[in-house]
Formats: sequence, C-alpha cells, structure tokens
Amino acid sequence: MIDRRLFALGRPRWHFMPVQCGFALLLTGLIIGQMHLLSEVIAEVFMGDTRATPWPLLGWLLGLITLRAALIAGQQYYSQAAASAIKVRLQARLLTHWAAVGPVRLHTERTGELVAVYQEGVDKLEAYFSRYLPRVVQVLITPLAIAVVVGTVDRLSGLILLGTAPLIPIFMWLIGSMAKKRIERQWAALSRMSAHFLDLLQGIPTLKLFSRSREQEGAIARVSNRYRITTMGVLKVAFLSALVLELAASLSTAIVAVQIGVRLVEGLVSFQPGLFVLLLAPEFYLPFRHLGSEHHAGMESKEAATRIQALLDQSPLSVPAYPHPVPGSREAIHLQAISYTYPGRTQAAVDQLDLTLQPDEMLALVGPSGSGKSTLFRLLARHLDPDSGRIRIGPTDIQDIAPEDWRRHLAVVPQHPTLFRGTVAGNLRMARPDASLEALEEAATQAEAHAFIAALPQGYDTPLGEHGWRLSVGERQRLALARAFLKAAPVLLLDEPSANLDPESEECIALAIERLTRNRTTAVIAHRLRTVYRAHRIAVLDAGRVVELGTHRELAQANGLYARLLGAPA
Amino acid sequence: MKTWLWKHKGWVALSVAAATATLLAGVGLLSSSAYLISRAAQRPPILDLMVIIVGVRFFALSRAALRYLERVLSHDLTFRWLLTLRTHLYRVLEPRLPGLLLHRRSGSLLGRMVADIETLQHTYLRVFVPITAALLVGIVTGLWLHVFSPLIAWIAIGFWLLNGVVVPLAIKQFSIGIGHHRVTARAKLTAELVEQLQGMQDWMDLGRRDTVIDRVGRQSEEVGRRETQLAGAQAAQDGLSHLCAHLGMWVVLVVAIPLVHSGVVPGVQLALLTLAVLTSFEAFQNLGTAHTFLEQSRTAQHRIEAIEQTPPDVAPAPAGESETWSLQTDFHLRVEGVDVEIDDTPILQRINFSWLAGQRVGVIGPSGAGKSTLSHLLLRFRDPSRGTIKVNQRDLCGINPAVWLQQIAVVPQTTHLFNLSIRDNLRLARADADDTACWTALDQARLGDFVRGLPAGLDTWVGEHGTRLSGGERQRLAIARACLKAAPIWILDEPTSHLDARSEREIIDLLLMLTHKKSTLWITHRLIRLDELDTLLVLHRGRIEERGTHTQLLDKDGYYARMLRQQNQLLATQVD
Repeated sequence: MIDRRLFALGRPRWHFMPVQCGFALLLTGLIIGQMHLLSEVIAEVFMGDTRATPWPLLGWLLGLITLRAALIAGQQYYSQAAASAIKVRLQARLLTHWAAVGPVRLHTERTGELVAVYQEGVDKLEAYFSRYLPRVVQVLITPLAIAVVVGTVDRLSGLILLGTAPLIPIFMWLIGSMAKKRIERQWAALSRMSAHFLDLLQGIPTLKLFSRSREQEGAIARVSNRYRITTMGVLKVAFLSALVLELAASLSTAIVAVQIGVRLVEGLVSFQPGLFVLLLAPEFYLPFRHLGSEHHAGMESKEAATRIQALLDQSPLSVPAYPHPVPGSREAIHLQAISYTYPGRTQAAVDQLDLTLQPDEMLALVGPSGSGKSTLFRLLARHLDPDSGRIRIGPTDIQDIAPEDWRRHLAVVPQHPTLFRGTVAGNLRMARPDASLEALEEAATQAEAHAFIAALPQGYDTPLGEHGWRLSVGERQRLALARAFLKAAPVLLLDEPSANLDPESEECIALAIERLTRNRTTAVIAHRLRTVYRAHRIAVLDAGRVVELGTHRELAQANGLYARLLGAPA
Repeated sequence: MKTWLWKHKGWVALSVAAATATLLAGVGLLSSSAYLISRAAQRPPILDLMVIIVGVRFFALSRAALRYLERVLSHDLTFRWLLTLRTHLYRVLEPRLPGLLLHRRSGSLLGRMVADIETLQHTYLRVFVPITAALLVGIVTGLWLHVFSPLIAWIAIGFWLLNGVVVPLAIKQFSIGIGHHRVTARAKLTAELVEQLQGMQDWMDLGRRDTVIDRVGRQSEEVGRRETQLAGAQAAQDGLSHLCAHLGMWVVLVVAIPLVHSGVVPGVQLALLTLAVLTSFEAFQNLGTAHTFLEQSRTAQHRIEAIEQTPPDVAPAPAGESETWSLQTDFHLRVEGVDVEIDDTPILQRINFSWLAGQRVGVIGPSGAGKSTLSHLLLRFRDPSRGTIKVNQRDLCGINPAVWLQQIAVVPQTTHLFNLSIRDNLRLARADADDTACWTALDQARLGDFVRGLPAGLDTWVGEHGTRLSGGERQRLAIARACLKAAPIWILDEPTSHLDARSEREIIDLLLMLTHKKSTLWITHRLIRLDELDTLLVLHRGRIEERGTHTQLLDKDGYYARMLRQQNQLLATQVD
C-alpha cells in the first residue's frame, strides 16, 4: 500500500509520516470519545430517572465535535501544504536535470510531453501525498483502534467487525484483478477516442475539400455510442468492488445492531454500551470507503511516477569534478577522431572525424543535409558528448572545462533563433545582461538591425514573442547576429540560413556576417556561395566524415563532392 | 442540457431516484438500527422486534444494491451526454474551420475545445445528480422529521442549507480571488515552460542557464503558493462541512431532550432522531464539489458559446445542395479588384487576374506575400473583403462551396492524413472507389510500388497525422488522393515546401506531368521549372508586382529576376 518508489521520488520531509500518524491517532480518539459521550447522553435521557438536561455531557460533546472538525481541516491543510512543497522541489529537480541532459538529447521538440510531465504528472504525484497516503495511514490506524475499543465493551461485536474487515480487501482484490486488465484497456480506449475526435476536428479543412465534412457528425455519434456500450460492460464489473464494500459495511452494521438488540432483550448487555458500539460500527468502515474513493488517484500517481522517473533516469552530460579554466582565446580547437551516434540509429552522425580550427580562422562547413554539420556544432557547444575521440581547446580537453565557462567563450548563431517573451532590448540583453542601451544600439547597428528596430512601434521596447510583434525570418536572424556582437566571444559558431530570404534581408545579413567573422575563430555552416568564397578553408562533410578540405579554388578544381555542390545550383 | 435531460427523462428520473434512495437507505439503516436497540432496551417480546429487524436488513441490502444501480445508470448517462457534447461541438466548428484557425494565432484552440468537452462531460454526474438528489433527500427527510416535531425539521433544514449552500458559497467567495490567481499563475508557468524548453539551446548558448532555471522555479513556487492557499480554503470547507453535520445533530439533541421529558417525543425515538439527522448530511456534504464543477463547466461552456457566436468567414451556402456542375471544358475564372484584410491588416490588395481552361498559372513570391490567402479565397475558406471572384460569370460567393470544391483537386502544403488505413485515407476523395481505382491513383502518384512493398498494403495504418510515412510519401498520398478525385481543376499550394531537395524535384516533375493541359493554379516560393507554366503572377507584400511568362520576366530583369539570381547563389546542400 505504501510505495517505496514514490517516497524516493517525492522525498517528503522527515516529519510527514509521524505527523500523519499523529493526526490519525488523535482523530480516532476523538471519534471514540464523541460516540461515547453521545451514547451516554441518549442513554441518560432515555433510560435515566432525572428530568434534567445533562449539560456537562453535552458541553463535552460540543467540545469534541468542534475539535474533530478543526483536526480534519488541520490534517488536510498539512497534507496539502507538505505535498505542495514536495511538488515544487520535484519540479526544480526536473528542470535542473533537463538542463544537465541538454536540449538535443532531451528532444525538446516533444515540449508538450515534457510540459505535461512537469505539470499534470507532478500534480498526480502530489495527490499521492496530499490525498492517498493520509487515507492509507487512517486505514491502518482507525479501524483497528475502533475494533479494540468495541471488543473491550462488547466482545462479540468486536469480533464481528474484525471478522468482516478482511473480507473487504479480499473481495476488492478478487474483483479488481478480474476486471483490471479490461478496465485498463478501456481507459486507454477512452484517451484514444479523445485523440480520434481531435484528429477529426483537425481534419475538417481536408474533409471539406472532399465535401465529406457534413457526414462525420453521424460517424462521431456512432463511434461514441459503440464506445459507451463496451465501456458500460466493463464498468458493470468494476463497480462490483464498490458494491462489495458497501455491502460489507451496511450488512455488518445491521448484524451488530440485530445481535445487540436480541441480547438486550435477553438482558445480556445494557443500552448505553449497545448504542456506543452501534455508533462506532459505521466509523469502522469509513476509512475503507475513503481509501476506495482515492484508489484511482493512487493508481494515477504510480503511473505518473514511472514517467517522471524515466525522465530523471536519463544520464546528464559529463561535468568535470575539478574544472580547468578555459585556456586563452588564441588557442586552436582540435577535433580528434570523434564519433557520435544518435540513440536508436545505427549509422553514426559523426564518424571518426578529425578537424582543426585555427585561431582567427574562418572555416566553412559544407555538405549535404544529414552529413553531420549540425551534430558537429552540437558537440562543440557541449549539447552532446562524443561517444569516442576528444575535443581539445589548445592543451585542455573540452570535458575538463565546466560547460558554463566554455559557453562564455562561445557565440552561437542558430539557423532558427528563439526570441523570448519580452522586449527587443530584453532579447538582446540575453547575451549580456548589463549592456547599456548604447551598447545594444551599437551591436544592432553592426548586425544591420538598428534601422528596422528603430522603425518598430516602440523601438527597442517593442514586445516580442508569442503575443508580441512578429518579425520576419531575416529580421530574427539579424537579432541573433546582434546578440553575437554583444557577447563578443572569441569563438563563433554560425549556422547560415539555408532558405531564400527576401532580397533586402539577404544583403543585410551578408554584410553583418562579414563584420562578425572578422578576427574571430569561426566555424560556419555555409549555404551561400558568397560565404564560401570568403572562408579561409572549407571542410566538405559527407556521412559524418571530412571528405575534402582546402580553399575554394583548390576544391572547385578537385572535381569531388564540393564541385558537385557548386555545379548543381537549386 | 435541458433539452438533453428531457430527451432522456426516463433514465434521468431513474438514476436520480436511485441516487436519492441510496442516501435515504443510509439514513434508514442507522436510524432503524438505533430504534431497534432502543426498543430492545425496553424488553418487549422478541416478536415485536421482528418488524424492525426486517427493516434494518432491508435498508442494509437495498443501500448496496441501489448504490450499484445508481452508479451504472449515471455513468451510462454521462457517456450519452458526452456523445451529445461531441456532436454539438462538431456542428459548431464544422462551418468555422479552417477560418477560425487562420486569423487567430490559435494552434491550440482545437485541443482546448476537446479539453473543454472533457470538463463538460462531468456536469451530469457531478453537478446535476448530487444537487437534485440532495434536494429530494431534504424534502423526504424534512417531511418525515416534521411528523416528529416541526421545530426539529426546521433546525435540520437550516443546517442542511448551511452545509450545502452557505458554507460552499462563502468559501467560494473567499477563495475566488485565489482561484483566479492560481489559474493565471499556472497559465503563466505553462507559457514560460514551453518557451524555455523550446529555446533551451539558445539560452544555454547565451549563458543564461541559472537565470532561466531560477525564473521558471520562481513561477513554480508561485503556483505552489497559490495552490496551498486554495488548499487552505478547501480544508476549511471540509472542516466546516463536518462541523455543520455534527453541530446540527447536537442542536437537534439539545432541542429534543426537553421534548422527551415533556412527553412530546417518546424517549425510545431519541436515538433514531439523532442518528437520522446525522446521517442525512451525507447528501449535502459533497455539494461543495458540485459547486466547483459547476463553475468549471460554466467557463468551458462560455468558451464554446463564444465560438458559436463568431460568424463563419464565408457566406452561408445558398439552397440548391444537389446542384451539379461540370467545369471540364468550359472554365473561366476572373479575380476582380480583390482586397483581403485580416484583423485590419491588409493581406491582399487590388488583385486582378484571369485563369482560363487548360491554363497553368504560377503564383510566386517570398513567404508572407499573401500566396496562401489567395489559395484560401479560391478554396472558399475565406471570402474577399472587397472585390469579386467570378467563375464562368457567376460570383463564387453565391455558389455552394461543396459544389465548387467538387470540381477541384487540391494538393496542400501539409496534408492532413487521418489515423486510418491508406485505403480509407484515399477513399475520402471518392467513397465508392474500389481497390483497382486506388491502385491506379497510387501508381499515378508513383506510390504504388511503395505500398505494394508494405506487408499490409492498402490496409497499412498511417499513424497519427501520417507520422509513419515520410514527408515525400505523405505528399504522394495527397497527390494520389487528388488523382482519385479526377477533378478538372488543380490547385497546388506549395506542395513541396516541407520536402528535401531530391523529393522536391521528383514531386515537381510528377505534378508537371499530371497537370499537363489542365487548368492549374500553382503556388510556390521555389523557382524551379517555372518556364513550363503559361503565366506567372509575382506577389510581393500583398500586391501583384509583376506578371508574364518566365522568359518575359527574365527579360524585364525586375523582382522575379532578382529572386532567381539569389536562389542561384545557394549551394546545393539540400541534395543527397
């Protein structure tokens, strides 16, 4: 009932379980006390000789009632607050871990799934601590304590309660294991139905093109109806477990009442203890019922835990225990026999690749798509660790440098830069948080971006991002270049846009790139003739290896892959 | 919901009756047991007790059976309710798509609608049934208590109202602000998280790892804080709800004691009365949850109603559904002075051109020039803000879209493939197509050999959004679908924009062959083999900048020539 795995994942504070037990014990005591007082009052009025209202007893009763209500609220608040803290800590752990795994291996394109785990997944785990676990504790404490008290008052009734209690889990388990598979299959079908419905809605435009959209309404009704019938078949079995629980509780209450009644007539028990026992009987079963209603929450948390654990089990990228400093900025970058294969692939993306990037050199990487250019960038930016081989910065292995330190020496201009919610200035300051407005303008001017930024409705304060101003591809690219100017790092990784841009943007970007690459160690993934003409050397990649290396002139005459890439303009 | 309830009134009545009876059986069980014990304490002949014992047994058995019946019935009705909700939403969305998705940035709109439906499906089980059952239990128990003592009945009613209405409403009033803060905080967290996950590579490269982790972490804490506050309200509600029930019982007890002493209420019934009042609260204790669900349902309902109230982007179809029309030989389309504005931004301005039977017209221009909007106009996904489109002298807006689309084979930029078999996806184009027709179409699209090589052939499942197929295969399937339709007019809306260079060339060759001598509108931003088209319209910022044949435009040395030169400056890195 208590899952060790979930505990390890949630890491509740040490006092969580003791406090839960304390609440359960106190509440049980209050129940017993309250029912005892209640039976005393009724017995005194009904059977007693005095005609006075038993105020002291009533006063005590009122006190216990109030206290019990307060404790119920207190327990619930404590559990929820503790679970909330667990949730926030787990979320922080997830995020830190994701950053350590790195964006490439995390598959950031599955954002929806990651967000679902971070929010709904962790919520479900939270429910284990806020709702399920307190109920479990109560089931372990309250019924037993009540049975003992009932047993001391009236042995037979105590035995009845203790005798029927084990029937509940046994029957529930029997029915549960019978229906479990079918129920699970049906829940899966339910989510498929929902997905199918969404698929249909998304396909409405396509259906319209074929004049088939109207008739789908009937199809939805047919599918839903068929689903209803099969699901009800399963639920009819599933609800049997509730039936058993209900039956056990109400029948044994009835048995307790009847046998006490009969023995009362025979004078074997007296009224007050009899009533006391009767009042306690439903309280004996209540925790079971509460647990039953949280059963689904418990199941869900276990599922969620599996998904969360799977994400936490992904190994992080290597981080040195004793980081070396980055050697000076005038060091060559050596790639020595590095290989990398993406998980689930058989062919290496980078295969025993050797390449050296000289200080202040501009090296162009060209090659067909899938030849390993982007993987090379990911390895250099430390978003991936090579499977074998090593990358050296001068004398130092890149893996001995703290990734954060290395990235300070590195400016990356991606092909599809992200613009974050915030202003233009805020986006530029991602590269240097303390940059003055003058510095921003200077960088933007260098990147040929100042003119269009100044023309925006609020200039540098124009909001960008999802609900902000929409920039064209060319403009986004120039903002990314401005970030690189601001960062002023000695090493530059530049992924040139591969697509056609409008003629104005094209010209501006070419100018900005020319400025940016001057006197900087640069590796550029090139798609334009203009760029390869300017490069000091060109490395031609194919299937994860460098197949040609040299200047444009040398390679153009070599009649190899490079010449083919030149000769077949799109 | 009202009409739905009325339509299923028999089952609804039965399920509410079962829910009420379950609750009443609970009251009956404990009060009859208490009465049994009290009566037994008076030592009557054992036979006198038999009637009460029968009652106790009856309540015990019926409670379990009724609960089972109630759950089965109410779940069955919930599924029926879901069915109604789904068809209703479909009826609302069908005339409004894709227009609704075009002019708002609402990629998640459909997902949210589906989630809203999932919220609304609970209205029957978690709102309607508990509230009606509570009302009925109140009436029955109230009347019964009234027989004993009107005063006790009124006290009970007072506490029920306190428990079922006053406490939940008060707590809601108190927590409404927190709830609102929580929703906003959560939405902010989701937005923040999506953005940071998608931009992870960028912020790591920019060295902002700690800043970002800190920012998201703070937002998580904010959500946690709000949720803890809400939990406080929920805990208070549960505590107060418990207090109401037991306090109600206590007050009844205090009031009943003098009545017993004065002989108005027989002492033997004191325990029965007390327990009946206590157990009756079971019906009112969960009304708090019903209030919460009601609130959520209302919000979901409002969102769907808001969609219902936005008018569709195209004029409603005129009568004459069965009209047939063939544009096989006689086809002449004229676009005259068409403007399109979306959210007050001009997208297309003063567009004029004609398109004749058998003519292939190319529409080219950089992204954002208005090319897709033009195709939406011709496909009747949108109507022009000004100007007219005439087909054979008839205004396109006056023609039933279904009749018009019957004449057109479309290959769109991204093809929606349904999570069905290849055959079912093909037969969307022609429901009566047999396997031979399917194979012919696949062969025309040069996909036949690929499908023959699949173990399940035409029965191969394409996966969600066709993800089991490659981009090129998906587009070929779309082409096969268009071939199967055998329509006289073709509209190609950037059919190769998501493909690699090799597939692009193959598909372009294929489409040029298939549309030979057919009326075709070809929209593209890639300037490949455009010399084969009869005329080109060059769009730039919503206007037609240049028009003419490929050779004419090259000679003119204008915008088109510049675009072409620039394209030739690219390395052929996309070829593999």
